[in-house]
Amino acid sequence: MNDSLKAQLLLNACKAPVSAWEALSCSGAPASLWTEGEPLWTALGIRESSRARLAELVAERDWAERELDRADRFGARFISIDDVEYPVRLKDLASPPMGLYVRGDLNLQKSMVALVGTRRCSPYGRTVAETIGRVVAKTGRQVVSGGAKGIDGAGHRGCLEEGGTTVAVLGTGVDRVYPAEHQPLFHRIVEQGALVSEYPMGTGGDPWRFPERNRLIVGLCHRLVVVESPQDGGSMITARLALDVGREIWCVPGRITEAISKGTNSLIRDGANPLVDIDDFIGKISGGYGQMLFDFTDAPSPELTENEKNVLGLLRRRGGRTLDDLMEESGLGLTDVQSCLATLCASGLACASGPGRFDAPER
Amino acid sequence: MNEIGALTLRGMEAIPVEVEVEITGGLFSISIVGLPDIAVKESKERVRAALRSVGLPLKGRIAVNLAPADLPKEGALLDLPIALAMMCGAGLLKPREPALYMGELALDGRLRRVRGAVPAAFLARAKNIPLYVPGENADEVGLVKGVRAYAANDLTELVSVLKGEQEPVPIVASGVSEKPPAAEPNFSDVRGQAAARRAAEIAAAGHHNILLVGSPGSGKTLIARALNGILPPLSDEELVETLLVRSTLGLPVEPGRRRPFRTVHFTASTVSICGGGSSLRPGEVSLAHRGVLFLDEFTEFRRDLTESLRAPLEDGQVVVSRAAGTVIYPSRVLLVLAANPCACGNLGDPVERCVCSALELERYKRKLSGPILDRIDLQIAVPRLLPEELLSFSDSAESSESIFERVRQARLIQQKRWAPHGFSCNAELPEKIVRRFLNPSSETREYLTGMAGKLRMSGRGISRVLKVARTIADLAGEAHIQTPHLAESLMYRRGVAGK
Repeated sequence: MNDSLKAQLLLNACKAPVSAWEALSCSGAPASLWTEGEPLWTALGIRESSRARLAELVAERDWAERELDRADRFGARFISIDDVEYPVRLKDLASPPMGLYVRGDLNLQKSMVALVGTRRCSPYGRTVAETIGRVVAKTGRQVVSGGAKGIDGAGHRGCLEEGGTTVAVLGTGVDRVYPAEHQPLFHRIVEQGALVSEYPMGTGGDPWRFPERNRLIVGLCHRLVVVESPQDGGSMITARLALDVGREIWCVPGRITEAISKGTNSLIRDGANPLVDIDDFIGKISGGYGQMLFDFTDAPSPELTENEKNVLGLLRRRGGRTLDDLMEESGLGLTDVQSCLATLCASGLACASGPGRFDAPER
Repeated sequence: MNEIGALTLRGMEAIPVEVEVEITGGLFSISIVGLPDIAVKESKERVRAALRSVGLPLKGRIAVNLAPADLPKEGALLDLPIALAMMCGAGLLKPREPALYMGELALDGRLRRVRGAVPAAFLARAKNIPLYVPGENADEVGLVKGVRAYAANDLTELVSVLKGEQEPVPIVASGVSEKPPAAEPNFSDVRGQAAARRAAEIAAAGHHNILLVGSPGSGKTLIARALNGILPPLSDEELVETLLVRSTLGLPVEPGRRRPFRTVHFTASTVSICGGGSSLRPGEVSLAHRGVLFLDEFTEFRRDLTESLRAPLEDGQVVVSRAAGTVIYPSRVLLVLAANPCACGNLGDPVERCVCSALELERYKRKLSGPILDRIDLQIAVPRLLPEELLSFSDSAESSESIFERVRQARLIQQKRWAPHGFSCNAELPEKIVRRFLNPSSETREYLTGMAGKLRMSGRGISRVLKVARTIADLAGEAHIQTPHLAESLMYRRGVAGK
């Protein structure tokens, strides 16, 4: 292992500023980092807490070698700030990470859309996040998010379902799975995208790390979509960061009476783009050519019978209908309505919106 | 020495017991041997008081033996035979023919109602000897055909009958009222909910287990209760089966041929549902035999409870095995489950907001699956109707009586079709029969294949849909399953209601 990589690993692990690395590499002797010790570290502008951590790591002597071994075992790579693979956009940040641990294939060719929101989301929020994830994948982009429960997970999933790639920026080491129930999801992401983290292998989920990693999401993405967030949610921090580095912000409006959408709604008031229509969103982000990329409105397949078209029309006009309602308005018998719904639900044109109620969502 | 014929219960079976009494001189004492339980041991006080009241003060050392000696005897039904044996022992009575006697004695000599009169009647019929029961048990014994049974209201009356001073009061076999009992609640009381009414009709027609999912206040319980009113009446054979279970527990006879409807609360214990306890009593699942077992708030039931229901539902019988012995009770029930769509109950409601977190929803979804739900053919969501929706139903809904007529017809068709194979309804059909006999036409088959692919249905899911489709076709009086029947049955499959 060369001294530069070792120095970068050490500096990254102790959270030294990038400027420290720049000064060290200019001096031409990265090995002086562990030969000279404390006085040099102060001269490099490394904070006291970082110096303490650095001292511990240096004392371990072969920490850097073992760290690379650990990364190897999990199929992870370390990309330093000087590598060509390092995402340039991260340098927009006030404090870009010294390096990234990457598991999987980090595709920087595809434009990234960050999809963030609360972990305790509503079913509606989850559906919206999944739909956005899907269309982002369909337009050849990828979703970057935090791999957390709720909105994050739904966004990743939607993207994966559509066969797209997705990037999860973790607040733990890339070898950890947090939350534990996302084991299968993370597994898929490694195959179809990348898990990314700036933290050394084995780092656990300390609460303060999650807001910190949000800056990486912002750095990586071209656009930020906030689906549901309360006023004091972590997503609000992400949105503020995005504003600082000049990323486009889109917010999905929610009910004004609910805490869960207070944050997103206030962002809209403050000038974020309201995401009120998915077609419109795609149109906007792909410069008006979104529509041409793929056909959004799966036109009702021509095999639909008169009755089925009739029922579909009723559902399109107003959703949340019960069977009684549909029978009354269509004039059809129960058996006919049931079989129409069976066909419509199977072809994805209609779906249950609640117990005994049906919707025909615009796709 | 004269023995008196008596019996004790083991499960739903009456076991003959012989009661012998020996009276010798000495200080007054009564001892009962032959594995008596507490109720039998205590009978000496009741017997002594009752004999005194008919003018027979007991004297001397009295030994009562209950044979066979190694069979545990239970219950107050041995009071009467013990009293009669004592009278024989004292030389006051000489029975002219072997008979079975059962009854609990009051202190003044009256005979009280006992449990187990129906099993006793079966025993008497098998041994072809007369049976004497308390007057209060006459109605249930009267439902058993071909048994020579007599009723007596008190000890004096019975003694004079046995002495030949008085003619015995025979219990005449009473017919069961053939009139279908009034459906209560009636489906005409259910407003809207066309889909749920239809599902209940299909469930009743094909004896399919059903799960109702809906927000609180949507009318799940009302529909479940109304379902009982449209079930076909009990046949003679089924009536006797239900009677046997009820009699074993000493429950009064239900009039008519109405099927039992048992509601189980989620706080119930496993023993109370599946049977057991030291005396190996039948549980709710056996009381609901040939009728409806309703589990409201199904997701609140403990896992071990629902697990314990698995075997009874699968086999149609419960095997209660305890240290005290093993007995078998029947448990062929129509299972009706009701559950909320989520923990707070408001998932998907147009007005009320669901406040469950994603994790809670996930956890709840897991509760709505499992081994018991594999036995459910029909799943239906019951929407909570908005006030304006409720008010929009002007004309009154179809009554239970007219639904009942369709159900009856459909059942007759099924019985005729499956009788050669030994089944009586579509829900009972095993996989093998489904594959061999439920063959839709090629066009319909194509539709099913297409849908099964789109909906990612399993093999078991497909056969369930076919069974339900068969019932729908039976309700329509069609000889073959057609595409609309299949399409409708697809809407009742698992997972649709729970979204």
